Amino acid sequence: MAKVLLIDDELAVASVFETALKNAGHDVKIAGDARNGINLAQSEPFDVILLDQMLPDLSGNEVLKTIKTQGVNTKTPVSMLSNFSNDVTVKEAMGLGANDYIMKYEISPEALVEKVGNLVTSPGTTQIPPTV
Amino acid sequence: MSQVFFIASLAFILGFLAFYLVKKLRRTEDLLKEKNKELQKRLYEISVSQAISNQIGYSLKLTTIIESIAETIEKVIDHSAVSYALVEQKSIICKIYENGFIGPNFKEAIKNSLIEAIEEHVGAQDFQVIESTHKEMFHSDAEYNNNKPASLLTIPLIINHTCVGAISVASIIPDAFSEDDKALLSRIIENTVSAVGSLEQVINTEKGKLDSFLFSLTSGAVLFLLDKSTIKLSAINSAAKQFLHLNDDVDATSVIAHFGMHYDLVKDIREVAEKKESMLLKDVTIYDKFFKIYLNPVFLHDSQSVLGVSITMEDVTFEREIEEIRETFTNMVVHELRAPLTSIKGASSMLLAGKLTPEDTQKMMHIIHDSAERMLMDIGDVLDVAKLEAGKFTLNNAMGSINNLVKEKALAFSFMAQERHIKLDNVLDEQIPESVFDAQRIGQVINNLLSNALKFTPDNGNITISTRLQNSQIEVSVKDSGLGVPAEKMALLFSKYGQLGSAVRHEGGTGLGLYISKGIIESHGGKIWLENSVKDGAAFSFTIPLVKTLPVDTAVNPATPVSKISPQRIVN
Repeated sequence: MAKVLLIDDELAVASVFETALKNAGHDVKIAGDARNGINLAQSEPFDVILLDQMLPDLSGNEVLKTIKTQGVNTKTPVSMLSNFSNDVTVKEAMGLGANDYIMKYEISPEALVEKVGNLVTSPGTTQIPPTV
Repeated sequence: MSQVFFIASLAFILGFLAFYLVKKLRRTEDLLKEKNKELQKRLYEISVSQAISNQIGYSLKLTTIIESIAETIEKVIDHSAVSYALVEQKSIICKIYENGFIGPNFKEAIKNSLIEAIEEHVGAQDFQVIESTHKEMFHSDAEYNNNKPASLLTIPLIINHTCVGAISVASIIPDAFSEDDKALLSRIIENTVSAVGSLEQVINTEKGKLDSFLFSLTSGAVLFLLDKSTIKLSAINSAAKQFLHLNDDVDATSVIAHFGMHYDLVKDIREVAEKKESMLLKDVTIYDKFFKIYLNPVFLHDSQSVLGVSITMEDVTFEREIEEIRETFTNMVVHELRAPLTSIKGASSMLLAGKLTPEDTQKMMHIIHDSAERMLMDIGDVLDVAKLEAGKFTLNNAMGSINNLVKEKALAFSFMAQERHIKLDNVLDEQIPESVFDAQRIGQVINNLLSNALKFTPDNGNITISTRLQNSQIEVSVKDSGLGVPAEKMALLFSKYGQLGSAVRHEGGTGLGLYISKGIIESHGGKIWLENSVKDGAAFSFTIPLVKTLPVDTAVNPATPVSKISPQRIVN
């Protein structure tokens, strides 16, 4: 079982992912915006952080920068989430220390569960996905 | 006797006649000779002028012109020295062609006479005199003479009312120059000067035409001339100065420096001149703008030698911005349609796997339902925009109460407001009579304004929706206690792209709400606007005209097509 922090304002998608991860035995906390996400990431340790690229208050990369430099989760593997992306933000996220990049529209709930499992055991860095 | 007298008289008369005729003939001969002489002189002048003009060619370089005149005079008038002086800014360039063995006193007198002739026209000035002597025609057997010239003829050179220099002929012999010589000299100079003058005028007129064309261009234009290793600025128009942030006083160095801050211009100028090929540079950033820059070699007429390089700068900032906005808009549409589909796909996968609790099953089904609804709303927005832009937007007008509509919509939002401890007030003018409008569409506008207000008002804030009647216009205002609309968003607020332009996502929906609202209100013949203050929050208001009776044709066919949405220019 892993402690997962899911930062995403797309509540429907977040809810699907949360259900899938909980059913696989993980403990999931959801933050609906950047401010709450940063607060949670600063105060308690997580095993994996799933971070959406587009949040209402800050960009995912800005949140990533804060998580990777401050608080108790600087070493926690982070996978970026997006439904839309381009080379610039992906490269930037990888440069800021993101371990993986998930295209939400491509991944099935089972594949997400598997990916989270992999991130906990071997949090290496994945190749940058092609431009959408 | 009388016969003798008669014969004598006849002889006398004949003699007189003969004498008279001979005299007359001589006079005619003399006249002819003179005419011939005059003709010869004219022909000579023409040939001299021809020689000068051949030497000058198309050159308008004063030195070339004046040297040609001096060299020609040397060949046609007997003299000890021919000299010229040319005004160049603050100095006078003085050259003496020696033909005899003359000393410094002689030269000094020539020089003074030249300067005097010039100063007579331009006024006495503190000129720096640069002297040189030319001895090619020097006669070695000539006698040394250090007196002042015994004869000195100096003529100023006046081109288009400006004195540019003077020419003189000097001799050691007194009265060396005949009246003919003098006349010839003045005529040669006069002809040359007037030819050069009119050529200069033609060139000035052409240059004037070119300049006004150049200066009226909205593109920047710069012309550099290459003189061996140096680059000289020949022309720059006001657009180029503006693009480069240059003031009026410019030279090659300052122009290159202002380009140089953004890219290496000198390197490209040299390359264009060397390869004799044009060059196009895309996306050059100069200060805060984007440019397309063309560099073209300028050839000397009909030849392959490069005289300079012309540069045109085309401001493509607006096109770039539009392109960026269009791209962002497409991306937004992709994202907005993908988000609910992603939820539907994920939730249905979970259902298909079939390992869910009854609560989770219920939750997944709700997600599918809500996401489908959201997609339909988004598609509705996009369709509304398409209809508005195509002029196919229709209103279903009916008699109704604006106050009732406001109350109904405010009630729908009151639950959400309560959850966040936001006070939502109605201030309604109960005197407003029933009016004709499309209740569904106006309801859509009120929904949009209330949902925006709720989005941007912090917890514990307040929102007031009010109605009033003024000048036969029904006005509805939604005022919030949020942070107001940031200045950079104001310009595009009611446009199709109002919600774009940041990495941070807008909260749900297509962001087309205000654009559609504007279309709906304008279709009703009303106005929509924002009163913004950072301190007091934002107040969005709209008006629709009060219409007390339903037009007859509208009652029969309630769907009235309305005019196309007014185009909106994007301003920065």
